[in-house]
Amino acid sequence: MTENNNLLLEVKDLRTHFPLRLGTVRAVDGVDLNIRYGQTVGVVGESGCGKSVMARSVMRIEPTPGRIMSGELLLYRRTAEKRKSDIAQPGFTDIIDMAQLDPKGPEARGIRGAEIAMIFQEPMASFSPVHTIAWQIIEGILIHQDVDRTEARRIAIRMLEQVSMPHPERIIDRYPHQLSGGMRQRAMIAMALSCQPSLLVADEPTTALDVTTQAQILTLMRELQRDLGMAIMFITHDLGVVAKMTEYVYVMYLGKIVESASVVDLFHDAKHPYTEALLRSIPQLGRRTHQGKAEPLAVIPGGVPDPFSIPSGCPFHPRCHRIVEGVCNVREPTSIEVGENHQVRCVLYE
Amino acid sequence: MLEYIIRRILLAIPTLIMISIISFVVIQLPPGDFLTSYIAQIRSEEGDLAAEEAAEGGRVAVLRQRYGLDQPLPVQYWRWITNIVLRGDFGYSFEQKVGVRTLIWERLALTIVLSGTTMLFTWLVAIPIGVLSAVKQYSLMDYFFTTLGFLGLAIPNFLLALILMWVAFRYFDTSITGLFSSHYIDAPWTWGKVLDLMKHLWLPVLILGMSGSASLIRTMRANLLDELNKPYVETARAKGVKENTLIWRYPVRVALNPFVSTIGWALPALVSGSTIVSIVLSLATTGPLLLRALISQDMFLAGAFVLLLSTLTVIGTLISDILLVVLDPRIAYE
Ligand SMILES: Nc1ncnc2c1ncn2[C@@H]1O[C@H](COP(=O)(O)OP(=O)(O)OP(=O)(O)O)[C@@H](O)[C@H]1O
Ligand SMILES: [Mg+2]
Repeated sequence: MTENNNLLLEVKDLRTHFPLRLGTVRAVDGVDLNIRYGQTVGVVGESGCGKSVMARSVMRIEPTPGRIMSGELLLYRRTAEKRKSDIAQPGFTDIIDMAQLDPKGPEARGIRGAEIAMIFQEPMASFSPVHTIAWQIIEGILIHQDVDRTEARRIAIRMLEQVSMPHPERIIDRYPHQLSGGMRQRAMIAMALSCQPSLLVADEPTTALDVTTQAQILTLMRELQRDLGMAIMFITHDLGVVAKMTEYVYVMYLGKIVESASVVDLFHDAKHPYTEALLRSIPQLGRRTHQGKAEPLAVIPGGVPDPFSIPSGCPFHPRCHRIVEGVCNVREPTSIEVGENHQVRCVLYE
Repeated sequence: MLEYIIRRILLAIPTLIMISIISFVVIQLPPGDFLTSYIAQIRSEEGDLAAEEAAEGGRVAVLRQRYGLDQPLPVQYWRWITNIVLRGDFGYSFEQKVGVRTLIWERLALTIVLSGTTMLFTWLVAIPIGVLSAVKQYSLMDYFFTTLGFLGLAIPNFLLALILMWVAFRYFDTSITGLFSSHYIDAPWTWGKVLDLMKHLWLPVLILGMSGSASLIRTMRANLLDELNKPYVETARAKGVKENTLIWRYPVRVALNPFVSTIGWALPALVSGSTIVSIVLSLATTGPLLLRALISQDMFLAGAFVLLLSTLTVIGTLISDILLVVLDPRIAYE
């Protein structure tokens, strides 16, 4: 199995829960997920299925009162030289379980921003409104790299050039509100990549942007991935973006991974009824019925259930059109290997 | 930026002129003036004849002429304001029978020292507590300070002053009134006097600062709770910034901005709010004297205080506006 070589992050049975007054929200409830060095992995699912909480748990910045209840977050670390020199060599030096770290402690902080970096959905709100772009990028560089302020500024300007920011020497001293949405997201990407992370977690980085800017940012991210070689965990609810950006996809539903497959397999040979439904809900040019009319868009019936009362058995069964009565609503399905690197969690394939 | 500051300063000038006119008119509004009540006083004390005489020529007429009290209002105003601006002459206190100038400055200075110290105290106490209460929301400490805060808001300042006075008198056999020990009151300024002031200052500062601190803790806590969930805090965390550094550097910094704009009116509010406490504790600040001047229609004395305190407000607002622009880049200064 080649995929075990080059392993960067291995998430095993991750559970992040929110103990609230009304009950416990199991936002992430048993997620298994692997990312290899340099790989681009997509995580898709409807709003509220736990994508953001999962991503934040990986960074150990799970929002309060959220807590990692169990599971492992194994980070296969390589020293900086090894990371750069030869990606093909499985030369990691140590394995660290991020789930065991104190989220505010020095080890977790040393990993955040340096080995795992993150970009967010709202580029405006994600920058401090009262500090310049320079200030905010340089801060991270000074934390993780042994350089002085002038050198840090040089690195920051170089990063801004790398993300194709126009006039980086001037833009760097601006405040976030003086930049356009696309420029802010470029600055955010520059900030995240300024310490050459092995993994970039991107939580819906283009959702808040207009379509043109969205395309530009996606292209930019692909180029950066090619040039810098970092792995990307790309979170989105847009399957079009998944097709464009990723190699491997995890489909998430109510805190669980229901299907995982390579992009090609997922689009041509989806197994889980939820994935099928997601695929049917993408608007597609050229998909027409015999009469030449546009095929109506399928909508997944029902809504995402209330997080406090997750259905018993398979959590998707109330909305599933292939439900097997007496099984799906009773027993939780296990994960089944249905092809090479293709897992699905559905009783139909057991 | 510089241009903005200069423009703001220039804009303050017409405001100040308006304020001086309003101050003057307000002082003139009550029927009669000090001289009418002065004549009435002479009449009751020395009889009708003396009053007649005083009104015709003599004492009153001299005063009337000197301050142009028989002139139309605009002329009086012009004389009053030019004397202040050109010669620093604020007129004459009819009641105290000395120039207003000799009465106001020390009191004004003490008032500024007292209010300034109180504000500083309030900020130094309230901001760290507010931050802690927000960061450790619903902790024991949060509940403790919440309770204390509501007590602080609910107890009127003057009542606290009375209670503390009684406690000091009853159990420690000392009097805690005044800003100076008795032998320093009329003494010239020396280091000894300054130290003596410091020794007396803490109590009124504590009393005056209590409700201010209590409400500032509440506001700071609420503002910060809003900011703590903002995405930029998460970004900083994702960069690996230390939690404590991060809280003070980002959300506290943003949550503090609105307070800067309150300096302008917090200071005058403190000055007028301290009047009752000053009376109770017999502090030689502006409040008690202004009150007396207003009651006895001692127009030039009252006018000087109203004018100076309003000017302070304008200057305070100006400073906080400029500070706000310096601190918050989002506020455009076009
Ligand atoms: N701070 C929090 N406190 C309580 N519950 C939370 C918190 N953050 C998230 N949750 C809950 O966790 C669940 C998953 O939320 P999450 O934000 O991860 O969804 P998502 O998949 O990222 O959705 P979206 O596409 O809208 O971003 C939701 O039910 C949400 O209510
Ligand atoms: Mg999300």
